[in-house]
Amino acid sequence: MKRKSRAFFHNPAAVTALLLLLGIILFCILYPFFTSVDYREINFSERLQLPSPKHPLGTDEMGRDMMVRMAWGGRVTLSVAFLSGFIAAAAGTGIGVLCGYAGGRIDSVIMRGMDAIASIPGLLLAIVFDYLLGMGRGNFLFGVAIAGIPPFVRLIRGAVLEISGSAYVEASRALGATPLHVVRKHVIHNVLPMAAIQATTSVADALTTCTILGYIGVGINAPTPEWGALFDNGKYLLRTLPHLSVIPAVMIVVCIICLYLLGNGIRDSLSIGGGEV
Amino acid sequence: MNEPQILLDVQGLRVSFQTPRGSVQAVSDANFQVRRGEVTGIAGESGSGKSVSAYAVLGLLARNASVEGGSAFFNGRDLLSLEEKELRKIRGSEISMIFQDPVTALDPAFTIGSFLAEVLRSHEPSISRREARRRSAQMLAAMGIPDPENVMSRYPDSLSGGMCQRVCIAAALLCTPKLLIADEPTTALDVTIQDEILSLLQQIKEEKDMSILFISHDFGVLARLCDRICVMYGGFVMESGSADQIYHSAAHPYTQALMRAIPRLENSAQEPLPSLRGEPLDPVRLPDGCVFASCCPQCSEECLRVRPVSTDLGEDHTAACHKLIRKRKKPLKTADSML
Repeated sequence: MKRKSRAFFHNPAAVTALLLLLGIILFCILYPFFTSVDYREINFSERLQLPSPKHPLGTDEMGRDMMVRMAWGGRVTLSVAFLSGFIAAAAGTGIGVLCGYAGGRIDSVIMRGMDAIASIPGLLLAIVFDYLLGMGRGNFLFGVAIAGIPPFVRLIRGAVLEISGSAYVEASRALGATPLHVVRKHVIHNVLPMAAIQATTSVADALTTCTILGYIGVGINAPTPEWGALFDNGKYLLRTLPHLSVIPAVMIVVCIICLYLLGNGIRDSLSIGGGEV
Repeated sequence: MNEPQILLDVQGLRVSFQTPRGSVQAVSDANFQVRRGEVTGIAGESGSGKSVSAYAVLGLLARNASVEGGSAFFNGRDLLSLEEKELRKIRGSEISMIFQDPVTALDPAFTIGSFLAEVLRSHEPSISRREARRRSAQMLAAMGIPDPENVMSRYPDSLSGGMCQRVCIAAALLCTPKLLIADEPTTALDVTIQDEILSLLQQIKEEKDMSILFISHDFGVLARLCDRICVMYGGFVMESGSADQIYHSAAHPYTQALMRAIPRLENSAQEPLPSLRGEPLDPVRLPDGCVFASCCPQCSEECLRVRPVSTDLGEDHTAACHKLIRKRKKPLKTADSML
C-alpha cells in the first residue's frame, strides 16, 4: 500500500485535484466562522455590488453577501453530494459483495431489483424522495444515493466474481481458509480500491443531481443557498453582473473535474501493481 | 524392510460435472494410493480427470461438480464423507496443495509476510505475530529463498515465477502437512526453474519424509520425482505401477503410445514423433466400451462393447485393457493387491 500511495502523490493532476477539493471544502466549512456577515442578512442599500473588500464576491439582488452564500451553498451542496455518494458506495459495495459471493437465487433477485432501480432516472428518484420524506430539507439525498447504488453493485459484483474465481482464492482455500476469511481478506482488499474509484464518480454524479435540483428549485428551501440555486439566481443578471452566476457554475465544474481527476489518480496508482514496477 | 504404509487410499472415485450440454463424467472409478514418504504421480492429458481427482480429495471442486461415489481414506478417515468444517481443518495442516501458476496463486493485495502469517493463523489462531514472522522466515529460508526478511515485505508482483512457487511451497509446508498435492507445479515455469523446483520437492520429500501426489502431463518431470505413477485417460485409470514398470514395461496401449511420443535424443530429428489416430473423447457421451478404444491401435471388437476392468499384472502393476485380461484371465475389480 505504501508503494501505491507514493505513486498517487507523484501524480501532479491527482494531487492538485485533491488539494483543490480539500481547499474548497475547508473554505466552505471555515469561512462562515471568520466573517460576521450572515448569509440570510438582507441589506437593500448594498444590493448588486461588485466585489469589494467588504463583500469579496459582491452582493446579490437583495444585498446578501455572495462570499458567505457561496460558502453556505458549498456546505449544502457538497455535504449532500458526499453523503449520498458515500451511502451509495457503502450500500453498493456491501450488496455487490453479497451478490458476487453468495450467487444463485439471492444474486438474481437482487440484480433484478438493481435493474429496476437503474431504469428510473436518478433525478426523478430524487424528486420523489424529496416529496415523500418532507420537502425542502435535503431528503432528496436518499433518492440520489439510491440512484447511485446500481452501477456500484454491478461493478463490485463483477469484481467479486472475478476474485472468488481467482487462483489465489482457490489456493487460499486449499490451505484451509474459511469463507469468511476469503471475503474479509481477499475479496474486500481487492475490491476496496475499485470501490474508492467508483465512489469518486458517484459523488460527482450526486453533485450534478444536487445542483440540477437546486437550479430547478427543488430540494433545498430558500433562503438556504445551494450552488445550483445560486447559479439560477444569478443567471438573470448574466449580462450586467456575470460573476453572480459564473462563480457558482465554475465551482460546480471545478469540483466535478477534481473528483474525476482524483478517481483517475487512484486508478493509475493502483494499476502499477499489475505487473512491471 | 517393512512395506511402506498407505497414507491416502482413493477407491472407486467418481466425479461428474453438470454442464449445459449434460452431465460430464470427469472421473470414473479411479483408484490410486499415496504411500508414506513416497511420490505418486498422476499422468494424463488435459481433461483426463487428473486434477479433478485431487480437487475432489480436498473437497475443492467447483460448484457444478459433485462426487458421486468412492472413498478417499486418509489417516483412517474418509475425506469424501467429511463435513466441510472438518475438511477445512485438514486442508493446509495435514494435506496441502500447490498450483500450476504460482504468480496468480498469490493475492496481489498482500505482502508475502502477511500471506504466510495468515496461513499460520488460520490453523494456529493463538500464534503471536512475532512467532508467525519467525516461522515464516525460517520456512522461506528452508525453501532456498535468500534474504527472507526482504522477500516477506514484498508484494507477489515483484517476485519471479520461481520465487513465487517457492513461496507457495513454503506456505503449503508451514503447518507440516503429511501429504502435499502438487497440481502441475512446474508447468508455468521455464525449464531451469522447473529443475530447481523439482530438486526442492525431492529434497523436501527426503528431509521431511513427506508424501507427494504429483499431477503432471510431463513424463520427463514425473520420471524425476515419482516412485509410482498412475496413468489416466478420459477419467479412467488406465495403468498404474512403479515408475520403473511404467517407463520400462508399460502394458497398456495408451501408456505405450505415450512413451513412444516422448522425444528422445537418439532419435533423428527428421523422424516425426508417432501420434495416435482417431478422435479425442467426447466427455458428455462416454462410449460403452473402453474409453481409449477409438484411438487404440490394438482395438478389438470386444473393446468397443465392454469396458475393461483393472487387471493385476503382478508386483503392484495394474492395467485396464482387454488385451491383458485375455492374457491373464485374472480380472480384478479393485487394485487390492496394491495394499
